[in-house]
Amino acid sequence: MNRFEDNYFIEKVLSGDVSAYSSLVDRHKDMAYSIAFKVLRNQEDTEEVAQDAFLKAYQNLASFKHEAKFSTWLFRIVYNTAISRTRKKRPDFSPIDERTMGNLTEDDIHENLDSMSDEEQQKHVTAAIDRLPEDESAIVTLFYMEDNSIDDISEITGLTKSNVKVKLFRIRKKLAAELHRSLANKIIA
Amino acid sequence: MTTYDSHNEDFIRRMVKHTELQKPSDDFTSRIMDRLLMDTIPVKSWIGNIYWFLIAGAAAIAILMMIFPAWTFFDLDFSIGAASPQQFAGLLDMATHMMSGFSALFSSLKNGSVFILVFIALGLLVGLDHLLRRSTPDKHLLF
Repeated sequence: MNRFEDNYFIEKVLSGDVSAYSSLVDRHKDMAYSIAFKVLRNQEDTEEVAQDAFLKAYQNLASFKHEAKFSTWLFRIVYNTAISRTRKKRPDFSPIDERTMGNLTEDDIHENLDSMSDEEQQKHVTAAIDRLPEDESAIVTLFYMEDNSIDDISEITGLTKSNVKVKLFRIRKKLAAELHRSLANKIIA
Repeated sequence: MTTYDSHNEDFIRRMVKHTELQKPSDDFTSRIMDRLLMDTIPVKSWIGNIYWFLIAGAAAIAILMMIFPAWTFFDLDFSIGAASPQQFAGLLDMATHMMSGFSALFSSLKNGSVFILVFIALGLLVGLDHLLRRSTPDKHLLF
């Protein structure tokens, strides 16, 4: 996303053109929604939280100082709003054991991956990401799907940079373990 | 990063590539716009919070000077009941003298010197504004 285009729409909103905000919403709604969904795991709550976050961003737009990207600033609001909501409703998830690697070798898995459709692969990955704790699931989305930097993720989540790096290291291990396990089950079946 | 970790990284990147971002409902944007059209427009404040504090402080000092006895300012007595129209007229005279003093000072300067002074003053204002903005970052947006 081009931050200069974001700044253009922000200036338009601040000078009184409220409709320009719809362009900002359209540009960032998928990512904002995905972050909230990874944390909340529930479409109804996610829709409400994502909308609330966009409204909070609008109400505080005048205090946005352009020191960070607008998306980073917005996603921080989305993430914090979603995390606040989960503190009220904690979802159940089964933790992934990062030591579980299945009985198949990496080569077995990779050979069989190509035989799967994109849809099937997507199903496995989404299920694996959804089995991570909510904060880790959001970090995966931010890092791998939106190519946010460690600095951006640190700004969005409020974690230190080293904490983000440690979390990413653990997430990689957990995700790989879960993907290996689920793909192995699929191959065996 | 070890070879194993690097392999993991490649594997995850390859897999995540197949996933897509979740999509909100079709009327997501219009519902937000409907809600915010009922809200006030977030126009830029022409004056920052810190300036409001300075103005409030100056106003408080002025009120204290007017209310409490034994305050003197350039030989003017501001005791309760002592403030008279003549004293306000005196203050006005003093302000006029000060302005004419500044006016005389500027008229004695050459045009070039005035411009230099104006640029220095503007530079100081910009510097002060920048310092004040840096001292109040938007780190509070935790909501």
